[in-house]
Amino acid sequence: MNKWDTAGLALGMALIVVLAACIPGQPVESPTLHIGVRTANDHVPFYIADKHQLYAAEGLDAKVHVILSNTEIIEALQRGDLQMGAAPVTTAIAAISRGTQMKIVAMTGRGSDGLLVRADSGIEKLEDLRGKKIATIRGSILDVPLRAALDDAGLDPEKDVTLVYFSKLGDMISALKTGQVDACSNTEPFMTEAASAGWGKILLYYTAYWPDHPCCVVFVRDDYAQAHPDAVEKALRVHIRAVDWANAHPSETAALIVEYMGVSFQVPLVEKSLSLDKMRVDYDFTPDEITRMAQLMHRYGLIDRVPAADELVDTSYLQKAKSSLKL
Amino acid sequence: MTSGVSRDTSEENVAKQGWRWTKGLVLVAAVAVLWEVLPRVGVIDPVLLPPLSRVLGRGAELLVSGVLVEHAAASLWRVLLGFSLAMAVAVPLGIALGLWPAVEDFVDLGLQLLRPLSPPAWIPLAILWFGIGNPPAIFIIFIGTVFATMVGVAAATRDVDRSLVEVALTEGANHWQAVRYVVIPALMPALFAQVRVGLGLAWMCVIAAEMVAVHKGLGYMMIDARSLFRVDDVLVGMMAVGALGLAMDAVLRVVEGRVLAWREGTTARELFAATRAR
Repeated sequence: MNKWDTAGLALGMALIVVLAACIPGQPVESPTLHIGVRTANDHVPFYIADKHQLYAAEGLDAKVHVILSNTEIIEALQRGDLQMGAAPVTTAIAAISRGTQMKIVAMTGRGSDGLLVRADSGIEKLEDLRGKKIATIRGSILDVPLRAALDDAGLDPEKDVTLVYFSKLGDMISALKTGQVDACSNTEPFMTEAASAGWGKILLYYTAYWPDHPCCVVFVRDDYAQAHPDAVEKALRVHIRAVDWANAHPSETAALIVEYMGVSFQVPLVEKSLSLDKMRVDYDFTPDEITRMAQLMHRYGLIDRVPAADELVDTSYLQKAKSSLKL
Repeated sequence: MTSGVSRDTSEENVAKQGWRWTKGLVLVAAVAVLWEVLPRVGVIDPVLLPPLSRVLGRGAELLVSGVLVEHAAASLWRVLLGFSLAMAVAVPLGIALGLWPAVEDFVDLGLQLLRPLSPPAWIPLAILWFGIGNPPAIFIIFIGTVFATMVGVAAATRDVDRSLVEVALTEGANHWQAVRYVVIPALMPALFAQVRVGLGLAWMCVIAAEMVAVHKGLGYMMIDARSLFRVDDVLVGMMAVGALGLAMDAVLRVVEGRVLAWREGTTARELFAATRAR
């Protein structure tokens, strides 16, 4: 080995060490509770808490980060950049089933997802979708209730329809508009917007098959919860207050959603989507409903195992928060 | 070739190639050892980076079940088609851009406007224009490959030695003959380099391409695995893309070695290698 070989090897090893150093081992302890949320109707309690400075009022040093995708929220939580987050229950279950050390500690919203078709499609009921193409995001909260609804209607999701997988809500809407697919699993306020624009028709909400099914949940890293149980309880007290405020002030809540989502939706339209009895902002939940969703995910091959209830959820923080608020 | 650089005997050549492979393997082995050990001892969280043995085990499982082969075949087909179409457009148009200012005047502005757009930016239009399935995926690979290759070919064409063409024209060749018999042969080394870069780009576009309503493909497999937090599957997909890219590049290198056999012993690289050996 000559000097050039040695230099090349040293450079290569240095690159490997730098690369390895980029992957975190143990998260750095932060005095601030970092909470990752997405732009979605039922993440509005966090927008309310942020806008109205409810965390500071509770004596909690917390920062809300609006993050582009559910997956990125979990990835940031895994890295230790976030300690708490909100994402669809399916995302949280998938992460926990793969070993992410976190627990679901509260709900943020129920319902809100359903099937959209073109207004001129002639599709009137779920059974009319036999042999049709349905756009969905595999493994998501748009996907699992869709498969369950198809099953309930006597349609095999793998045989009687063609599920077409996308990564973005907007791409699914484009595909539906242009006739590339016959239906698309979607959420609010996009479905109400499509119906209001005249081209879309809301075929059904999945709540027809599973009333009040869980949509998005709040979760927290295990190590953070163990080290700072009081902070988790405070954060959930804020969450409860924000949920109650959202349900009591639909117009202001709709305006906040529009502000945080940064999209060109009209406030009355978002308010309409909120006022539908097919979705509601909520904080309370039971371990059974989370386990039921995990079992469905396992049945459809989306997770390898169903985690035990105590691996998935910890209701103790929410119970304490509720007790302290005399709920 | 009278370059003053002595050619290797075949035995020397084999020995050199062997040593080069050994050096490459040293780094790969170092990565492999660190990858196995660091997650196991907890320096790296195994949720973020599973140990290499677990990833290889998962890869073997996917390979034996045929799942990996299905995904790889789907991606390979799309890459080959998208890449071939891109080369069919980029190479002749790049040569024309490099040779004729009139063509450059018409095309360059549009080319520079389109070139910075990343492949995912084309997804909504790809769905609208080509529907769902293979056509938009192939389009995205094409669009992600064609502009950069075209610019590279044009730049290489501009660098073709003027005196070579002048000699041909003086000897009575017309412009077409000068292009056919002088410019293109002179361009071949750079052309192969651009084609190899284009092939790398095509593989880099696979993930974006397979975000669009496909059920098979390594990009789809990685996107799906990411959303379900199957980091080992993501890594298996990355390894498969790397391996296929390496294999296709190796094929191109063999073709390059045959087509450009005349270049042997004429490059500065060989001169430096010979100097070091002494």
